[in-house]
Amino acid sequence: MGKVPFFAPTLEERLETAVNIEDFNNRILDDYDRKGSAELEADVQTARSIIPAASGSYRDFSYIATEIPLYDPSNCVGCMECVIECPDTAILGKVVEPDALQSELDQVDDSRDQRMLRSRFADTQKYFSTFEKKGEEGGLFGIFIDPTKCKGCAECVDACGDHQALSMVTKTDETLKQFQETFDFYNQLPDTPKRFISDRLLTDMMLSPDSLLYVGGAGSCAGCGEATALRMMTAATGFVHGPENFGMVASTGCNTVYTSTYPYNPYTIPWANSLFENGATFGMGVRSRWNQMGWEGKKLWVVGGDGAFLDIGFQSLSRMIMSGMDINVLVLDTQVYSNTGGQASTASFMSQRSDMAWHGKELKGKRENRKELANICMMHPNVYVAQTTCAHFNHFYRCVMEANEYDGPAVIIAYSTCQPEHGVADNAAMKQAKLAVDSRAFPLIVYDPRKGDTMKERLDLKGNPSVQSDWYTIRKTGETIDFIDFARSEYRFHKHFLGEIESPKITAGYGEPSPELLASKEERLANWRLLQELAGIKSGETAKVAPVKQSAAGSEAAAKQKAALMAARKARKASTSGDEGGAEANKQKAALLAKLKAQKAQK
Amino acid sequence: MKVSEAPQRRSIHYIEYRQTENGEWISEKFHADCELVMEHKIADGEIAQIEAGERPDWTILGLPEIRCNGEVIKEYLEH
Amino acid sequence: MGSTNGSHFPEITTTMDGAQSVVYVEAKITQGACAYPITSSSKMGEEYETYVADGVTNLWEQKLQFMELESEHSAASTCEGFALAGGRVTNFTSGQGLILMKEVLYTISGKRLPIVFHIGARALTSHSLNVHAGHDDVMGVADCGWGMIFAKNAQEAGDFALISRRAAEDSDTPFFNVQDGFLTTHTIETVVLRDDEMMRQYIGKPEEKLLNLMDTANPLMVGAVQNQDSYMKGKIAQRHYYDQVPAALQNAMDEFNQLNGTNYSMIEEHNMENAEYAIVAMGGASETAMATVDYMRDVWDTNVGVVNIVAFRPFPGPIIVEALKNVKAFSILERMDNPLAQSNPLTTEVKSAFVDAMNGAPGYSKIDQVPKMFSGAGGLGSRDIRPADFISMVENMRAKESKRFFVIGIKHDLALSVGLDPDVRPEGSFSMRGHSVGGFGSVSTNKAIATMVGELGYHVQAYPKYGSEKAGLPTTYYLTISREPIRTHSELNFVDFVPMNDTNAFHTTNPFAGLQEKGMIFLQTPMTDPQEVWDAIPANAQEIVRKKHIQVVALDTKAIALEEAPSPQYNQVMQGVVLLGIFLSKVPFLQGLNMAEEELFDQVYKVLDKNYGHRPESLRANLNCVKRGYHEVFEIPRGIIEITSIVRSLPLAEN
Repeated sequence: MGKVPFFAPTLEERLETAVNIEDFNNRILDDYDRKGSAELEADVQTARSIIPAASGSYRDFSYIATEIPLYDPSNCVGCMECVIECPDTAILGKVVEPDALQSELDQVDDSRDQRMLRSRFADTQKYFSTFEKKGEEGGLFGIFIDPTKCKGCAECVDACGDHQALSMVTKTDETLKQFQETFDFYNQLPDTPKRFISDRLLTDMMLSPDSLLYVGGAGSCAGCGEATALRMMTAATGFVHGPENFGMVASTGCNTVYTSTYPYNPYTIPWANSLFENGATFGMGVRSRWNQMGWEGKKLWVVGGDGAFLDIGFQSLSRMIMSGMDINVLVLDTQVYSNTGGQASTASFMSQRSDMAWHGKELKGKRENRKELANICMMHPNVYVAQTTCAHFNHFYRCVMEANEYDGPAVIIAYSTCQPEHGVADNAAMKQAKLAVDSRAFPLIVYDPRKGDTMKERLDLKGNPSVQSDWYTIRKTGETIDFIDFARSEYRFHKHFLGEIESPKITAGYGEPSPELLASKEERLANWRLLQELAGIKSGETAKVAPVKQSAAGSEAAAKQKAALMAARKARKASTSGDEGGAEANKQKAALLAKLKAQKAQK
Repeated sequence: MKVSEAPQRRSIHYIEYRQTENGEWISEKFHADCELVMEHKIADGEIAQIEAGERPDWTILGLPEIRCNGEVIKEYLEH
Repeated sequence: MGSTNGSHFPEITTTMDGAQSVVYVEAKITQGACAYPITSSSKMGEEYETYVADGVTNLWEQKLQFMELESEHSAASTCEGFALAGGRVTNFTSGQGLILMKEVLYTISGKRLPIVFHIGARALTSHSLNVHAGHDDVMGVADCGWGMIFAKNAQEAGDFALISRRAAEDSDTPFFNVQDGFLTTHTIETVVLRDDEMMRQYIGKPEEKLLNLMDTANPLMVGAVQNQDSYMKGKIAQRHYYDQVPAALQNAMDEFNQLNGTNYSMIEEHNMENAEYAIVAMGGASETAMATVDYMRDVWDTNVGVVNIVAFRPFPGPIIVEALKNVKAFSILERMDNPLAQSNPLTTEVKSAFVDAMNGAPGYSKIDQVPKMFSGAGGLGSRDIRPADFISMVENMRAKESKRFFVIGIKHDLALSVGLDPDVRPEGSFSMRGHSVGGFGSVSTNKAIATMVGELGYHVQAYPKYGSEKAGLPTTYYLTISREPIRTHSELNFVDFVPMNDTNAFHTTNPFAGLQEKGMIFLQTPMTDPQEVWDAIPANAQEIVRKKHIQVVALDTKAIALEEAPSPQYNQVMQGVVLLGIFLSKVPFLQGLNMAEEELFDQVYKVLDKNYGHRPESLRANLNCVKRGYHEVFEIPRGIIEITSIVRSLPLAEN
């Protein structure tokens, strides 16, 4: 200690010490990848654990999966749904003008390669014929796979669906090389000209580089529903407001673990995490300082899971909403603590099996109702609230755009399929999210205070099928979809189906639903009817739903205790007023009074 | 089940080009792990390549197995 | 008024409490504050917010921001966000609040955000709730990677707000500026305010010193996850920052001393030259210890020194060893108790510093023997720490049979026996203890008197006795005036004037406790005839008055308040302010001033304006109350007192 000469570093030196981006990208990433972390010095740069933007693009998942999507251009209509739904930014689309494509192709030596690359493009009606008809040059549309980002979940194949333009194909060393070369070619092509990106077609926004603010390379599970939500939120914000006007705060959870595990950062925007429960108020600090700097127009998003916002960080969220600050919140609602291995959250569905709400011999999964964060948020003044899913991409994008436009707090709760905890397949994110809406497990909600003075005007349930009815009836077939159908499709409910398990596939539940699951269905219906009532669609029917019975075990114990207490009270009353306890207390009181009297007399 | 079966992976086993009795060519993608068959819309020039024993351009990437009227095409076998 | 020696900048001497002293600085140098109310630091957040409500700008003409969150956890989190985006921010907390934010403290230091939090150190609810001073809370967060310095009085609280900010920003390390809850936060003392230009130069413009890590033009990811492969590297690499903290803090103190003529250092040694014994403490108790050892030196010729630990983090081990290595023994007094540890925290650190010195560890001059070490707990939950306690600690060190671990202030097997409790106030001090009722405005009046006397160039110390109970109950307040700085932070046991606005004071308390010979009492009374007033006093009290030659003055302040109050809501609250007039008229301490009445009331007007806000009608009414108190207070003539023949037994206990 003593008198050591001290020279405080300058601001520039401070930043240099905090993170040297060039050195990080050139040395650290490379050494980390090739030599392993152990070879890297514990130098001062690591002290703050700062990761420069987009380092995730350096990460290579080529050898993760055995399969990769194969694109069939002649079947493609250019709907972009595969690009939207990919959780890893591994599948991208581009529209190229024919001359621009040709001049790039001319630089390819091998004629077979040339043919391969040319064959990636389709002259779709959307980008070619429609434009040609208008007398404009049409564009060629192509879909490209980044083999370093693809985890082989095949979500894109499901997103493509009936268009049948995508299938998976087995990877080999040779084809991997081909895929890489093809993707390099994609990167060399100019950006999609602006004229092909329609402002009215929200699905097109991912053609713009301004929308691709999540570069992939994150360690999320294959097919992760959360990652898609993050990509879509960043896309809709960046596309409208520009990537330079956007920052993110993340509450600890799966999202921070897969996006910020050193040294890979999938974001191209400023991002910060503090803790699990404080995202909203941590964000308030950033917002406050940004506003002080004159950055009122920049968009700040706070993201986190249902644990972060419904449970541990609930009060912090409520506090933020009441501040009226222009902060948007994206709740990645997986209805379970995904990050810690799948424990029940208050967002879990009733009867859902999870850790800490196990389906055992006596207790059959979660006994409590699902907490409806959207409903609670709506009761705060002046807040935009939405419940949406990535499968309803137009709805999702619209909610994000409206949240950004809303001058005040906004909360968007996104249904996020969690493959391991829901017990569904890697390619099921979109499908299950859609089913969650169809089955009233997770209704679509938009609550916009700008729409009017009444609840009815503000609350919009558009997008939910058969919005007037209790359950969704498929017009073509006359079949009704209810919560049981949803439960049947996910392993987290499988123990509620009492019949023989006929199928070896884990995602199918057969047999009759259990009473607990039926109670859960009633609970979902009550929630749906409440929303219908608030939205002015129907009124007065919520009361008809029988109150949901809590688990017998729980209530029996409580009833026993209550009976015991009542008996005790009765016994006490029955005995004379001078029972032992009372007598002792009275004695003490009398003694104290006497003492006080004596004291006073002495004075 | 009225709710469709749980999603299954759709991995290509082979792609078949087949000439029907009336001389029309059709193409289908057969998937290995399920019974799914997808139709492939045949583009210009593909049939000429098939008849020449070559794989159509769009299948150069990924190199899926191509069958023509039941026979595996030459170029696939070379690989 | 006046300037202390050695400063290069103009200074203003005023009176304020430790909370205000901190906020005065922070409202000048920060850009924002976040807080959640908790006794005893709420006052700081409240005061800061008043600046924001008034649209005040900092020294760089930037509007201040304030956010009251819904918990201390969030208040700390919001600070983290504000600082991450390059803002200079502060926070005020105490006790449970500080412990609730503990989780966030780590993420703040982990990100190297140089924030300064101000702590009114408080006991924890580790067996029952207590809102008063203790070091349990700060010791609970002493290992979160933050610097931690302890102010012992209101002056230091403000100065250390500057020093800790400078050290924090120079070393990219957050700091706690700690003062004792209530004992310092709520005690009005004489404080020299630092000059704006000095602060501007010393601290620097935020934008020129702080990194914006939420910069959209330079997008970075902060707060990442690291696994087995990386975490340890980053954690150890943080030593780069921590290694700079001692030099940064030393430099911040040196530069402050140069600019302001102060003499701050990591530890403060008092009377340590040739000291045989020493007392080691942190916070306000150190200063009481200093006053006590001076008394011991001057009156008993005993050589006892005091080492006040200013910097607990970074822990200045080598300097402490240098200061203490030559004494026979020293006793460390700590405001907390952690029985399962090797020792309480400061003792543990001092012991290990001595072991390092014995081993000749790097940074230490090798020593061959270690003084005898004693450690004790005292002042928990603001149990009074008195000069007598320090004397007993010295006796304990000298005794053959001594307690290696001891407690003070309570009766217990571990407690030291307490003997003489000398009056260690500065020579010629004047102290007042008022008995009133919550809601009578007496606490404000006490402040006003302190302000007034401070303006007249005296050192003051004023505080009410705070309990956690609410209004309507008896309250007690204290004031000491002196020509010298007042260093004792104990309850006043020696008083010269006891005003009783509470007519029940004779029954509910002993108003004569500690009242000095020839002291004075004031009685609130509806009576106007001195004889009647005297007759109404309980006989045993009359006896004491007569024996101790106590001067008795009286007035119906309630009637004055009723007459002067501009509206009925002021009837109660204006009783108190009349006392200011009585004080100015009757306290012998002020009689040497020779101020013209007009000049005096001009001063009073200024003070009322400062203390009672800006509503002209209430200001006028208050001034009238003071004037009437000044002119209408009457004394019970000595003749009446002496001729009263009723003498009764059962005298009140005299202290």
